[in-house]
Amino acid sequence: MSLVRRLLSGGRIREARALLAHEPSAANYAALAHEHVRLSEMAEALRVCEEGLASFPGNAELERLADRARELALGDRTRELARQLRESPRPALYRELCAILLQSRRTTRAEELAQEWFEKTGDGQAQLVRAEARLQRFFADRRREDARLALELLDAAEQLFPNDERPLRLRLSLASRAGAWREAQRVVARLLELEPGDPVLEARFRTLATLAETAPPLDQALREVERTGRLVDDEPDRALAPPSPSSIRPRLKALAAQGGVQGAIYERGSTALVQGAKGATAERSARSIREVVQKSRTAARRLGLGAASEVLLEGDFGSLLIAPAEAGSAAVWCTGEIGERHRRALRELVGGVAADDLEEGA
Amino acid sequence: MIEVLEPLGCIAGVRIAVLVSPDGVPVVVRGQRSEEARGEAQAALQGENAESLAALASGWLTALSRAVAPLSWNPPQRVVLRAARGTLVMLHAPGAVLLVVLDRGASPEDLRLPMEGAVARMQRILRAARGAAAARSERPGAPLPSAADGKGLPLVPADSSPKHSPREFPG
Repeated sequence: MSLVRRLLSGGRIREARALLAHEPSAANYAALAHEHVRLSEMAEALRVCEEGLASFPGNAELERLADRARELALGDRTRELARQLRESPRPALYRELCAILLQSRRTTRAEELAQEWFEKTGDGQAQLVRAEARLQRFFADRRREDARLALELLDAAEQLFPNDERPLRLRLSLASRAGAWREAQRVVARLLELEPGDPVLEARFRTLATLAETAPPLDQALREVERTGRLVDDEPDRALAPPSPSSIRPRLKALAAQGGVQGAIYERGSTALVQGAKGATAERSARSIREVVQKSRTAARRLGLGAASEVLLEGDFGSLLIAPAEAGSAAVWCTGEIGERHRRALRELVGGVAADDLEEGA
Repeated sequence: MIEVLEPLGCIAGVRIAVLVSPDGVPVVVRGQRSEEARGEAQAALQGENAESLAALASGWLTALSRAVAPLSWNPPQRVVLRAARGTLVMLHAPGAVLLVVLDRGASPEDLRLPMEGAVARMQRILRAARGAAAARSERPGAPLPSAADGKGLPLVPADSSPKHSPREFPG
């Protein structure tokens, strides 16, 4: 990085920081992180993303940036390990590279490498890494198929390491996060056989015993996770809503007043605010948007694309842009094409919304 | 139809391009300049085989059409689903759906023109095929196959005048 370029970029960093201090929104955190990435300051970019994610958990753009920054920060070591593996493949190198890939959330590549590791060396540890990668994929996408494959890999790992607690720990995390308490209790019982008298495990066993009676079987719990897209330890929507001094209604009104905009909608749970349509039409619109969001989230997960961040529909009705987010979804319907200002407005709506602003329903 | 899809596969960021024909058979082209495109085995490992992709995406498109129907909207012509690990773009063509999966970070707007071009080319091919079929059907087939081409051409050409009257038949 040349000194001139660094000096020129310094102004942009200051500007982005000032904007963030004035309005701490997810978009402004992302803008500041972008500036750090341009300066190749990956550690700083990652720090900004993590700070942003602490305020706006689950924000897709910040998560994407954080992943990318992590990946770039570890890039040099990754390249070096890949070179060494080409020269002399051995378990220690595979293990380190897989750990880096899992840390960077490159689960597909980690799984691929673990498979290669298993084929070349026959090391049972590779099966564990494959299972862990698949499990991470399940936690990210909530696809039942991923969980099923992870369980198969864990079965294989348990046969290879019958007295190892690691496969059991991974199985326990899957069962607990899916809400299959009976399965979780069974796994804790097996862990207690390996580590008798462990007070943490004993306490957990007692807690699970109270939950297990009404818990669904593992398969049913996984089916439910795929349907709803939520794990039992996910934060509830209201807790995820970041505090913000601005309210939704003025923003929604401003969006609806833009040229070509036919309507703007914000939804959270069963509550919706609609601008541009009234009465039964508003209700119908809100219901349709909710259905589109639900179907799109499921489709994105089942297609292996991860969490949906934007849905665009174009036809003879014009264009409908929807920004689904964990805290709520916003949509804008235009007669013409969707512009960047519409996108920005929607991002601001779903990124910085106060929970108490949704008292009025349409 | 492969030649219609091939240009799409050459665009940077295109992971896979699939044309789902009316008979439900997907025509597939895998991206050549995609960062995340893997071999067949890897794709199958991820459950990304073309058949399941086509089925899931078509199902989603149908669900969207059903969702917007209460608003008296016709089914959408183009839909984009942007997600954490990639983007799905679908374009409705007459009697078929063209779908493309893009890498994370690739812009679906860059695909707008190439996809519309592919649909236009597909329509041209279908029109030409229909024209050829119509030209063939204009010539009535004979009840028995002819020696000339063995495909049921008339024994007596339609434009030839009778060389004899019915009264001149032997016997």
